Amino acid sequence: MSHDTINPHEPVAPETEPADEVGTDELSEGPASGEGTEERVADGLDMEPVAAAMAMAEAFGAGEQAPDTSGLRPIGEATYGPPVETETVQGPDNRVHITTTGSYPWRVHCSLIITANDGTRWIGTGWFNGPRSIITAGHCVFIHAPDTPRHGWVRSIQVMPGRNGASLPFGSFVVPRAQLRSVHGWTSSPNHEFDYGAMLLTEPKGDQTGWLGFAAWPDATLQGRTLNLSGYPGDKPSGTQWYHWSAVAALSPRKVYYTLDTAGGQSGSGVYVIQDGSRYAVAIHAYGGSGSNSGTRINTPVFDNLKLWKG
Amino acid sequence: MTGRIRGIVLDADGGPVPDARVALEAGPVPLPDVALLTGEDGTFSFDVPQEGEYAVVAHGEGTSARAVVAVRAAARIELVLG
Repeated sequence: MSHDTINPHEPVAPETEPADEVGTDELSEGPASGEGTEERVADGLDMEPVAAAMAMAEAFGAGEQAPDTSGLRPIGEATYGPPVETETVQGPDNRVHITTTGSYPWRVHCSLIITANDGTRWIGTGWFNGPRSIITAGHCVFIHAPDTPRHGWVRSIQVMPGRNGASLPFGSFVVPRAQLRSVHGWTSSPNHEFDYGAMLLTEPKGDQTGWLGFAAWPDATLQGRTLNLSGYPGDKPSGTQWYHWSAVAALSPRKVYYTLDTAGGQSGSGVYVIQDGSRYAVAIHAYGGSGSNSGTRINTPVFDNLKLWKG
Repeated sequence: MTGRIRGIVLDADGGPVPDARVALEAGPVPLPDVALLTGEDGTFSFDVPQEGEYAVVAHGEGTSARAVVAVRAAARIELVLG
């Protein structure tokens, strides 16, 4: 006689199709600017003021310009041939160094030093989505390296909100493993479409820094929007914050693709849209290095989890 | 994971560089945008998702180095900053 451990009366439902995860409604959770100075965005602007200033300077000329060599190949290729194609920094690198990290919105972005299960240390980025929660990439909280001591939830993450090189305007704190979160879709296998996670805090540190809003919007709302990203790339001086913006390159139900310049260390950065002066994350940056860069789209179930973690 | 890249970051004098930021800059598939900090002995290791050619880049303060490596099961590289 077999013993069936599954309750035959347990309710079931069909699995959701990916396309169903992008609803027709616009779901939004608002931002907060925290305490202290704020860099406001003028009405109608969809990029940060630093970007608008650059665009203005380019449009009206900024004096003598150096020749644009962005299309030229390195001389070494004449002898040795082209290198493996590097596309993490897309085209000319016009990332903006942010030094006013004590101000909103820059202070919501956190420099992370991640200690993995095997003791190795990594750098990443996170962003406050609420007073007690910081969102990041799934691979910043859970590393896939099967059959090695590195595999699994990381030991701890040192978080430095608004870090500016050696300056820590909001100090530094450590989030232990027990306060990390992700989703089964990521922890069960390294599936890019579910690559997101969070750090839950015991104290409301986000009350000081403020936080980004976040939104699950349909394709029609996202297409054609300007995407903004600020984070801590490893190819720049240690612990410095850099900002960039670009258009949406492509959308799928679970991913957003863009030509934002990024480098190793920016995993976890919020990819956000500015609407009516408010900033809403629409994706969590996760991948570079091959074709356009991409992040996990904040669709309806991701939005629900971000809201759950926000508390 | 199907391969591993091991390496060491050295300075111009051949000494190990701790806390250099090492990342997989390019490869046959999209790669997580994290960077590894080298240990006190300057060493690092990455797991890679499939065989192929990978560009590995190391950044110190004001210096960087880059190498392209073909990975089957494992590969070892040296990156010299400066």
